Amino acid sequence: MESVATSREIASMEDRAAAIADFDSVVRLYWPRIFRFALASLRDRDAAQTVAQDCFLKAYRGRDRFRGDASLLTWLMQITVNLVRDNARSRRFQFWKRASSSSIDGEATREWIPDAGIDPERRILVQEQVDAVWTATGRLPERQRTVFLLRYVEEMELLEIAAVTGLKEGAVKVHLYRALRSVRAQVGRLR
Amino acid sequence: MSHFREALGRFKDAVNQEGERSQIPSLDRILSRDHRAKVPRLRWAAAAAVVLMLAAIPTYENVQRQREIEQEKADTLLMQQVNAGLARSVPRAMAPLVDWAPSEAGQ
Repeated sequence: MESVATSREIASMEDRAAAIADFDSVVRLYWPRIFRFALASLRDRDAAQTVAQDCFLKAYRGRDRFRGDASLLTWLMQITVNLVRDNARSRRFQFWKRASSSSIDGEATREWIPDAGIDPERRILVQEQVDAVWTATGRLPERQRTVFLLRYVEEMELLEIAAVTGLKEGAVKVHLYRALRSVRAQVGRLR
Repeated sequence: MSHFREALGRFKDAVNQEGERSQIPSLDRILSRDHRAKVPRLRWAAAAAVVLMLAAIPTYENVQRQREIEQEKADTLLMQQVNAGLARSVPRAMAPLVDWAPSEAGQ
């Protein structure tokens, strides 16, 4: 009897070890996407790091509840969108943290442009473009920004965005249209 | 239009690049957040318990004071009753006779 319990324990430990090992690869695979979405949403490196870590922590804790109806990325994005929303809400009350050193303005995004193969003149143009879109997305209302980033940075389909945000497909279209119109108007002023 | 699409594309590439450049933490480090998150929660719970206790002290004192006042009233009433009993000129059982006697004498 004792040997059965022991072998069960071993099997359970092995399962857990396998799950942890798998989850490690889940983190490696999806971290860049989750982090960049949080970064573009919150515009603060530390906050994005925290949200991304919390996302994987929540997913790890709730991995038994993942039913596989949606893709793993959709599930992780759902968690991230909720965490971003909570983080943004709590930061509204922490006004002293707004000017933290980890917050990113348009200037800081200039470091994100790859050096390779771009001549200085072209580089300035690219920097201006990135800066303009960054600034424009920063002015969007939270929901519009989320939908915009999921569509144009994460390249998700409308139905996927609806699943991630909990909105109806029609509502996603409306938010996307408004966001696009607003960003286009601001980027258009560049020319 | 193509300018806008180009700007969007550049923006996407820049954000993607930043995502790729970020340092991926190990699962152990992520899981250690769970423990760290519990410590402040326990601290908050302890602080909340202390606040509740402090808030309950005046209420407790009020209740105690109220009890003391009621006890004092009861004691005073009892003393009055005792005093009234001691002050009788005749025992309570003979009181009707005493009441009756003067009216008899008056006739």
